[in-house]
Amino acid sequence: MNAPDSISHEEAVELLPWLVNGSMDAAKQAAVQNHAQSCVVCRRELKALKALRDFVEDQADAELIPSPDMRNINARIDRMIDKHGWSQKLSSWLRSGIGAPWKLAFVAQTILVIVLTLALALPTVSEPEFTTLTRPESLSGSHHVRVVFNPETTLAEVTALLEELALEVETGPTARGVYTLALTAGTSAQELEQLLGQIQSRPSVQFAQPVVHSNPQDP
Amino acid sequence: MHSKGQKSTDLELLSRIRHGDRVAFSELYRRFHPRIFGYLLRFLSDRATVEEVLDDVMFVVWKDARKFRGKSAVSTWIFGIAYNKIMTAIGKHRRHQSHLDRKAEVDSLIVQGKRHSEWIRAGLAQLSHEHRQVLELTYYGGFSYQEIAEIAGCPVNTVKTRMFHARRRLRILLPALAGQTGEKNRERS
Repeated sequence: MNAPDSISHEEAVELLPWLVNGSMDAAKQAAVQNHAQSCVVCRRELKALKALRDFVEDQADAELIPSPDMRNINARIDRMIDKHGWSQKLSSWLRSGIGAPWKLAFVAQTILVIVLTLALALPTVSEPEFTTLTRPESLSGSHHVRVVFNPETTLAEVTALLEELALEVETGPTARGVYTLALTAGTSAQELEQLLGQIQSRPSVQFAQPVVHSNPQDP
Repeated sequence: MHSKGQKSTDLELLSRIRHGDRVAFSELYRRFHPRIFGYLLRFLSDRATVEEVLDDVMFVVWKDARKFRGKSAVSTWIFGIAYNKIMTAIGKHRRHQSHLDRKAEVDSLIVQGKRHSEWIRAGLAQLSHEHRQVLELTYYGGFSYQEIAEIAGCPVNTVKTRMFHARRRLRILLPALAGQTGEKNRERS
């Protein structure tokens, strides 16, 4: 039998949740288990994760799941099929007279009118992800900072920076790598400006900006 | 909870659904109903909303069966639809719920909480939805990190990173919650 592949402590710690739920392939599972046997930190973390898993499973067992009731969804599907049937009749009408140029012109004209009407009638919705701040006064009341780290930044470096500056990850990273970090309540505008300067000066940080809230109490 | 052994049968049902087979759709609906209902219930506390969103999920399965390419398991695809529906529903709800309301929800859990399981429940409630999703998909859904990446539409490393931060946050929250519970109980006595 081959010896399990070796694995770094960092990688093992990352994979512990999936060791607990039994979803990893055999080779990875063996490597993580082998590491945990000689690592007290991982064994302690495994115990905590098993307690979390047990809690989630106990909750699941206690839930009352109703029997499926398909009346609403069947009605929805029926309505969709009726509409589809209507469009099938229309397409067979078009196909029956495909040689008639006036039919094609009529359809093309109708489509153009619909598209133009929608383009004029529908409002455009834009939701900017970031707000640019130009005045220090607008920073007051902000309790969060959005940060993007350079791609090569390791998780250990991120954690070290968070601990050094007493910041917490509120949410993230998003698919684009954006973190939202929570600040201590009551941070003044001046303190926030200093903190931003500290964050932005780090080589591992690509982008940092406070989140401006219209309601200061919204996260 | 995640049953790899049913993969070919789910796939077979989906192939029939592509051709408008309502019987196959009913079978798939009934098969996935308990798991999807339970998953939605973790994030949407109102049961009527859960039923509506579940129907939304399965309507997409019916409508878009042809778009399924078979690169993932059928369960991963369906949970991916449910994941997006949850994030949309939560986004709408959040706009109508102030920060103080959310804090009040958690505070009521803390006051009631005496057992360890209640602290975990309160801790989970304080996580961001992205962080909580990774935890629930891992322990409730039983998915691998690769499958969660497909469900959430993000890279594998992002899944691992979110899980890392979720665990870190729980480690900080749970002792703090235990301390707060102790304080509230002392105030009441």
